Amino acid sequence: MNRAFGRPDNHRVLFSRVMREMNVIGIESLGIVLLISSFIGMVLTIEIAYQLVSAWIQDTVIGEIVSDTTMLELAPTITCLVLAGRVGSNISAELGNMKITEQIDAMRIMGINAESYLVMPKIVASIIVIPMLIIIAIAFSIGGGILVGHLTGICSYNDFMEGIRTSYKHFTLIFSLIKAFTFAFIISTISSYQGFIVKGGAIEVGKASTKAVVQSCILILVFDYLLAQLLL
Amino acid sequence: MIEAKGLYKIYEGHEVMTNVNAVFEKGMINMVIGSSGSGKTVLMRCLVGLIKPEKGNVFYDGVNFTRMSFSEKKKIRLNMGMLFQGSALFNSLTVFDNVAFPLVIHSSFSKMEIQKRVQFCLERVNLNYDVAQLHPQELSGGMQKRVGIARAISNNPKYLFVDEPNSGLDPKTSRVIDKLIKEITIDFDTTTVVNSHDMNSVFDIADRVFFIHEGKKWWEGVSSDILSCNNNELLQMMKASGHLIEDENHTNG
Repeated sequence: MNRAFGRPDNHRVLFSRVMREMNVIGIESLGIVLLISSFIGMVLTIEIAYQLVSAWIQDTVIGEIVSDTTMLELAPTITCLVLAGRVGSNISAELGNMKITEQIDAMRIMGINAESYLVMPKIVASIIVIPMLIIIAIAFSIGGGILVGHLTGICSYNDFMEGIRTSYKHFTLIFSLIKAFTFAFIISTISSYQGFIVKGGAIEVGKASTKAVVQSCILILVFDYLLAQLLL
Repeated sequence: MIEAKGLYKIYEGHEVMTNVNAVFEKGMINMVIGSSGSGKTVLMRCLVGLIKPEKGNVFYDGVNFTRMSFSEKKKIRLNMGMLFQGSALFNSLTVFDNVAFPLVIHSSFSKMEIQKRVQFCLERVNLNYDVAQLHPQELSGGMQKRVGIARAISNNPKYLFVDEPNSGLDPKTSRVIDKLIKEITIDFDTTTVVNSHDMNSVFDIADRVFFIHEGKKWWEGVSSDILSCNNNELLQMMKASGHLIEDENHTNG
């Protein structure tokens, strides 16, 4: 894996590969991220209202809890667990298939650092684009909450926004981005590693994809806990 | 010239290559023959540095390649071309991008120069430039092999490696690919190493022959001497391929 961070053979090619990977990892995942984050916000709003709101508690508390929970936990963790399935399996299957069809060997024969050519753009693209997806997920989750609150009459727009303003701290967003960078690194490196060590045929490629997803998910949850313990 | 000295390779406690010594001459087709599982591919992968032998070294024009670091090997690899058994073309790229790949990464050629070189390589392997925009999966097996050869020669290699060029091809296409390998070896003056179990290829194009059996080199010589050799395993292989009639020491034609 050290070679993945070695000097690239051609910087212009690296740039174009990073752009391509950003498209695959970011743009192509946008739909599922928007869908999941919107529904999380909507469901969260209804559930918080069901559990907490009474004559003694202000409606603004819904906005406070939705925004904090979304930023601290749900947007980065749930989105990255979904991305581990979508992006992680894609990366390991792509690299695994290249490995068993000798395409990676062909690159090595050409004097190309295959790890750097194939893996580095995936890691760089993930680290750039996944935090962006998380910010979009936060926005859509809160947006979903506001929409449902307004449509169902649970909480007015003004109360929801007041709640967000009251509870917002810069560090909450920074913490969310720290998680996003960490999880992006986990997803891209674990999946690439599993793809690169495939031996055998199509069945082994499938097994490698499953392993990549499972290991990424477990590590995401472990680091989720560690980061919360260390930084909050 | 490529020289293998005392190569040993062990997989999971099993010796798959034992003390293989061979000199592969420049400007010739050096054909490594043997039945499936004899150790031909292991030898070729040791030669190109895809696997490291437990003992022994490979020398490229006198320079020890086996003990070089990854970055040092790159200098030698820029002069290598290889056609893999399954062609190993990049599925996500077009034929043009496949052939241009080594040039895009390593050379400082302009787009126009790369286009000219790709066109030259495709035409050299008797492919129409029209196929350049197709993807490998849209080509026949024979055409994929040709594209593989075109990619292997795109950087003007000094050393050409060909692993089982005829696998999966019909006899007629096999002869065409063999002829192409021969022509390219002469045109580019490469040190060519070909792995094959096709005895027709041996008689058609091989200059020197190395017979590998159970991971050991059992016989080597020029292809014209192969019929007069006294190695039982090699004679059996020739009989099986129909080049030697049972109990007679002459060819079938």
